[in-house]
Amino acid sequence: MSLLSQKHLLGIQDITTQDIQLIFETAKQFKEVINRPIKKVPSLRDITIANLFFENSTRTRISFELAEKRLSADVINFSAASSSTKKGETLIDTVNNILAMKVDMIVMRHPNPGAHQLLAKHIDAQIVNAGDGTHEHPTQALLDAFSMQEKLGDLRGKKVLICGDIKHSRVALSNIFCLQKLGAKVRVCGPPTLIPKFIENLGVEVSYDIKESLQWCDVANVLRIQLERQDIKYIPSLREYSMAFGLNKQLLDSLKKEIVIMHPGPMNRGVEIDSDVADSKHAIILQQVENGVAIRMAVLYLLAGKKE
Amino acid sequence: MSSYLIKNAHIVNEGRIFNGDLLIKNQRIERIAGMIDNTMHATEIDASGKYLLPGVIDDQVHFREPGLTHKAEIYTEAKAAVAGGTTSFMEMPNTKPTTTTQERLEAKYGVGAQTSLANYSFFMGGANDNYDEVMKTDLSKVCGLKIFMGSSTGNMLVDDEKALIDYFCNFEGLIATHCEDEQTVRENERKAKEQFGDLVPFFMHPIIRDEEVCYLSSSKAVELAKKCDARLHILHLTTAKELDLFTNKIPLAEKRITSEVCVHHLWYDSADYYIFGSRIKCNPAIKEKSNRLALMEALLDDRLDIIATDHAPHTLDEKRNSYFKAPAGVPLVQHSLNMMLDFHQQGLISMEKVVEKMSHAPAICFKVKERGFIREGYFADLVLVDMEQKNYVSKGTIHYKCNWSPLEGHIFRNTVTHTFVSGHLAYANGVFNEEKKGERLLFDRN
Repeated sequence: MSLLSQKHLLGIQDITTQDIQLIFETAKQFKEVINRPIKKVPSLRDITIANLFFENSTRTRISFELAEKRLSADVINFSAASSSTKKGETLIDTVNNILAMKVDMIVMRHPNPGAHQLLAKHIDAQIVNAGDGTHEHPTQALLDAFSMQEKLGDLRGKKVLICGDIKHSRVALSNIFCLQKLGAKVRVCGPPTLIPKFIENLGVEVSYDIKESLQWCDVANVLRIQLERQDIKYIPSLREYSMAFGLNKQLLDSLKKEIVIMHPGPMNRGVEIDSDVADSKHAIILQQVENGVAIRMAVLYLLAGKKE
Repeated sequence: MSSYLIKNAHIVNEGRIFNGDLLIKNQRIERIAGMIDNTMHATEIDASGKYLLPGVIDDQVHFREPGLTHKAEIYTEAKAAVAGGTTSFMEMPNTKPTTTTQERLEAKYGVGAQTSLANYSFFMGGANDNYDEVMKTDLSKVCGLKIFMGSSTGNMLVDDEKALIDYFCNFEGLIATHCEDEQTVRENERKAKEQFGDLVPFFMHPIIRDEEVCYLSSSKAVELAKKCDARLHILHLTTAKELDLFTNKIPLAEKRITSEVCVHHLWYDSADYYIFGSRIKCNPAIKEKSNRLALMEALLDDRLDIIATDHAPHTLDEKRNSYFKAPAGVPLVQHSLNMMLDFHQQGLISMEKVVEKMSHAPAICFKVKERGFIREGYFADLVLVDMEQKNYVSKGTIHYKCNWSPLEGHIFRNTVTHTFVSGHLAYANGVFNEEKKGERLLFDRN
């Protein structure tokens, strides 16, 4: 029995503010646990989790796998390269075949937006979305907001800037939903070609002026230019993007205040963020990674919802 | 009665550790010296490399007899206590029926005399309606009066303001209280139910029984005790906020208000509810890490006086229930000394301090007669500890009737090898000698 309002974690859009706060409280405790000498705990013993990655991932997959192992779940991994989907099997068949082997939970990344919703309608196991195309990436949004909250306290009224490639980013959309549920003000900033039309309908501000936006915000979450999704040219060149929207020390020094810098990774150093910014004390990029494991432990724990 | 000569031990007592021999004769410590010749042909015990400590006095245990003997019996739990180095215990009155009359109290002493391997004392229980019975208590033979200002297992809540004042102003012995504000607990339970329904997860326990719940009740008890000049002893403190209610400016023997902390509140923190769930459900709840650190600090600077266990066994079947049905309480008495010595091995507390808080302080606090110290003429309640021998906690080594412990799987790097209870070698290297039972504790009170 899930302790969240939903059986699955498909996206931030579906869960309540209370759910988010419960996840944060739980993550705070698990963060404490993973800083102990003995990090492994028996909380999810006898639960089997399948990690299905139909799209490449390194840190998310490792982070989920570590979270699962620290909770003593049994873990099986499956990646698209070796999968039978290549042989023409449908997604639902693939997953049902895995479930027939008595798997309790599925952590899935898939290139098609909405693949998880489709699956949720057809299978019994609980599903955690580890990214679906350019749609949602809920655990990333949770760990970002959790890291912000750790640094700044209550997020109500705080100003958060998301800058970079908004159009191709699933992180941006989940982040917007999550931050708004926690009462933060959100602004997106980037070149007009990389900002989706009508995004202001979500209740976010839009700006094309990076310096003014940085001056406005308390936290800047810098997104990667997704080179693999630039099938048509959205920007003239990386060098030009870097000059117009890249974060460098000079730009931050010109602000009259200190802001927190975040990046969901992987970073393209010298493109959207300079090394002297990424490695500065204002950046909490590695804390985000640490919190990622705690957040994923919390999500898995709460979804499994063991009673004892 | 056999005599024993303990040779070449590191003797830990009253703030010092020194090498020496110790002779036990006629239940008592006959001599302590650097070297004692075995002229009396006493049984020799080679304690080279081991530490000799005064036996632990645990001032808060629940041994469930009478009425709840499917959970535990005085016989089984006293054995477990002895195996862990606890030579004396003081047992709580929330049995079935409750220990609220002199007759029932004496009946318990009768069972203790017949079955308990450890020395024993039993608390008188205060309820809303047994004032006259309580006032008959013989203070030289009974450890004190227990009042539940917040209900735990068993139904003994004293919520009548007038009854409370009567006890505080008129009872001359020690009053031990369980402090949690019942109304706030009810209110928090209601909120948790709103969020989760009947299946409230166990990690909500420290949120339902939070800092405020404890502080409201303990601050009230302290205020009342000051007004009436009562001899108040607050049991199992769990929060940083409550610690300022206690002073470290005067010696323990002069304090009118004393405090106790339990090993599990030093060992676990709220994160552990995600791991152990109902197994560590206990009242008061285990709080956040910051509180755990504050408790340890207060223990070291003497705002907290005594270490105990609140040993409260339930069967695993009872524990395997949903939040509102699973009973609160954790069995711990067998491992309290191991746990504190583990803290010592982590460098958090000196061995002298462990002995002070587990043996000397309870003896001073309750004015226990001739126990709690390694002194010539005192009763030979002694423990030998090997600080190198590993001790793996498993069902096979647990002596509780309920046969489980939240510590199962833990490996201690210290082991109790011998326990003497009033000069009788009751436990040696895993083997009990039950020929002689423990004795009733007596108290030096005028």
